[in-house]
Amino acid sequence: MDFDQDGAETVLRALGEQLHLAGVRFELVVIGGSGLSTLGLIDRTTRDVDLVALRHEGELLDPRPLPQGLLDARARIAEDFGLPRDWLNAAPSSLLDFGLPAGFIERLERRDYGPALTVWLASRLDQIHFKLYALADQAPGSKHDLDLRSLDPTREELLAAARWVVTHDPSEGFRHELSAALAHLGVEDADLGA
Amino acid sequence: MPISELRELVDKRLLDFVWNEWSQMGILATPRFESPWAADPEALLLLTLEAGRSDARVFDETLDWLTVNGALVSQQRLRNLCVDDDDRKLADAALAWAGEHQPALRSARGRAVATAAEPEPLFSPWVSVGKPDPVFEAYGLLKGATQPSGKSQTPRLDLPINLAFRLRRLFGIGSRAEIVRFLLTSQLPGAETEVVRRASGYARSNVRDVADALVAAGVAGSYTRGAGGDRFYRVDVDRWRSFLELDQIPQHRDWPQLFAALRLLRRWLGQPEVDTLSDYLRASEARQLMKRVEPDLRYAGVPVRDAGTGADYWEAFVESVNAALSALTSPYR
Repeated sequence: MDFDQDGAETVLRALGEQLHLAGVRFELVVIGGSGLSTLGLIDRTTRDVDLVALRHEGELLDPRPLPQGLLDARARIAEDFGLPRDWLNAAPSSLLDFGLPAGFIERLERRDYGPALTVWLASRLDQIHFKLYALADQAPGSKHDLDLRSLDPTREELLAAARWVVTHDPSEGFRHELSAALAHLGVEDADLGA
Repeated sequence: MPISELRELVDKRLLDFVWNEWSQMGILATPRFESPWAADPEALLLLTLEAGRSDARVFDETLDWLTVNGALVSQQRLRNLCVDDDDRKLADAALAWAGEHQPALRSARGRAVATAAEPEPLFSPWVSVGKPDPVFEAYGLLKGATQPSGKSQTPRLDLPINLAFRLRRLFGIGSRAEIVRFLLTSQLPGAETEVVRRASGYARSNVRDVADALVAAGVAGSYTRGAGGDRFYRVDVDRWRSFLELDQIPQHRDWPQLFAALRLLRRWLGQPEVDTLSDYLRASEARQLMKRVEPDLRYAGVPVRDAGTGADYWEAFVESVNAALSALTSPYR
């Protein structure tokens, strides 16, 4: 099953109920397609929810490995909604290793799904950062390309994102790919530094 | 279908069924129809002890039946067929109660388990207990003290439903009678040891030893098949029918499996907290329960439907429960 904006809401509400029944509480920091869909910023379906961090008392924590209570609830949701077992995953949490965009935490948008689940969604500006990073890794025409275009970023936003992206991979080869991605998006003369 | 309606339906269908069965097996009541199948006494006892929690009369009459016919019941098999602690508690309490009221069954007394501080009411809806029964109370179950009604009779061995008792009179209480009942009623051209074990309710090694002894005695046949050397058993149905002077061989049903699933379903539906769950969580819990009982239901030939996501699964669950209830009295597939 893929889920759209309504589907993502249904699944996250169900996750909140399962966590509440199990007597545990989590705050998830979500990026990627499901986050964009939940915010209504894109109009496509997705199969997973990408978790970049857990939030606890205002601090971001590395979600790897996912806590058992969350894994148990995830498994129940997968069964109940016919989703892949890893529909909720911490794949993007490696972004924490080199740092998230400055001001990321302050820009998070809060959604509550009952008393046991709070989802913090990355803002539009931060999603532009992540999507540009992903696009530089993949060919034009990918879902990241389409998502990025749906976000309709300005030249300044793309350049700010690019400056953050190179902190994650400063290699010459990657800079070349990033420049090509920017050019694909209409930013031809980006100065990414040496 | 709302859960309250499903709960009522399950109770009604189970009670109708157990009343009809016991009325042909010695409890004083009028059967609605003659069952064409052979009963499984221990499996039926376990189902009745659960279903009877919403009908004190059938519960008490079954206890009365046990005091009269306890010698025809295998305590070991009764415990072997238990699937959870609730089954064991009910079975042990019933055996202990029968032992208390019938000195010949004194050995039937099970060991009282350590109980929680507060015994739980046996019946729901709540029945005022007056003076609690000390035997049931020792097992953590609150029930009014009663005496055997004295109405039960011994089973009429000429009825198809009572084949198990007839074979127990012939072979004694134990796996031999159960194995013959299964081989005779299933009429399979060859039944694998594991299949016989599941029907008989005894350990695999015991089943193999006894089945081999029947083969050695010339009253059953066997053959070996497959890379693992699986042993298959069969009986000559015509010879046995002639020997037992039966007009018709009673039908086989996979009662232990069907009843075990129905007990768990009824137990879950009876939990008050299920009423407080959201539609989604109730469907999710129902899905987990169905996952647990599905192997038994499928073994008993009950179709299990898995359709719908989230709260929408409830409809498929209700359909599967209905199919399980229908299997109580519908022709065997």
